Amino acid sequence: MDYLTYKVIATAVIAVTIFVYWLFNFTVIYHLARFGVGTQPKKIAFIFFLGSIGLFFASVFLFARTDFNIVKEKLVQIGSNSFNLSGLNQNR
Amino acid sequence: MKTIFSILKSSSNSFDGQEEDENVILLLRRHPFVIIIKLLAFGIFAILPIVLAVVLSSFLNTQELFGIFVFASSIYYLILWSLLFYSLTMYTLDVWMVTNKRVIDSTQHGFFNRNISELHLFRIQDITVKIHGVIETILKFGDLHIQTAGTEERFRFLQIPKPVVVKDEIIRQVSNNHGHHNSEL
Repeated sequence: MDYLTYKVIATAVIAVTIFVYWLFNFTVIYHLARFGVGTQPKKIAFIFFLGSIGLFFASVFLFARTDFNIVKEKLVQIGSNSFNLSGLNQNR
Repeated sequence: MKTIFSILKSSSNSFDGQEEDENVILLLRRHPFVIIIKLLAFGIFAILPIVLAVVLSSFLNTQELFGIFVFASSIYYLILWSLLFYSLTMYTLDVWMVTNKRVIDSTQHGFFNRNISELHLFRIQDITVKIHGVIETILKFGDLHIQTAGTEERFRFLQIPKPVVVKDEIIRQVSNNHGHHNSEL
């Protein structure tokens, strides 16, 4: 089980999430383009496509910039504060 | 490239199953008020992270969590954007068409649940317009019910703009269609 590190699991989860996200987006665009009558659905599909790409790459950029070690440290800190009973024992 | 973008500018309003000499007279969707209400709700959800950032700014800065917050907000906006356009898709794909031959009701209930029914103009017996409440009266939208044979279910156009004008147009098409049928006979 050594190969199944947290990094591999996190990567798999992110990959599946991205796949589901783009599958959903594809379905929206497909429905608008295939079943939409008139120009309005095509315009909506076009705006949606551009916005999705923009927001997706913004998220990727922010993901790359974010230091997740801070979150890890904070969680460890919160965990140790919550379960630190030494102070209580001293008061008694 | 020019032809690709032309689909955004003009359309012949063609649809699946359209007959050769069939022309779309009216293409109807629900009144914009219906979707504007939803868009306002999405707008409120959209300003939520901004409000949170303002309220929690000192906490986020002292805890060095501002970067994480911005990233989480971007994911939130990504999901909100998709949900917004899902709503717009459902709104846009609910259409009612009046052609020179028939009336078509196409409603979308989720991605993979679509109802399409049609009614030939010569089968129309009577048309009822229903406008309920203050908002519908002020904004001039409402439901239009088309009755065929006695026991059959009514054909319903829901929350369409100017239902009285639509009713008049359908009646005009029905009388044209009857005239056409009689001349053929």
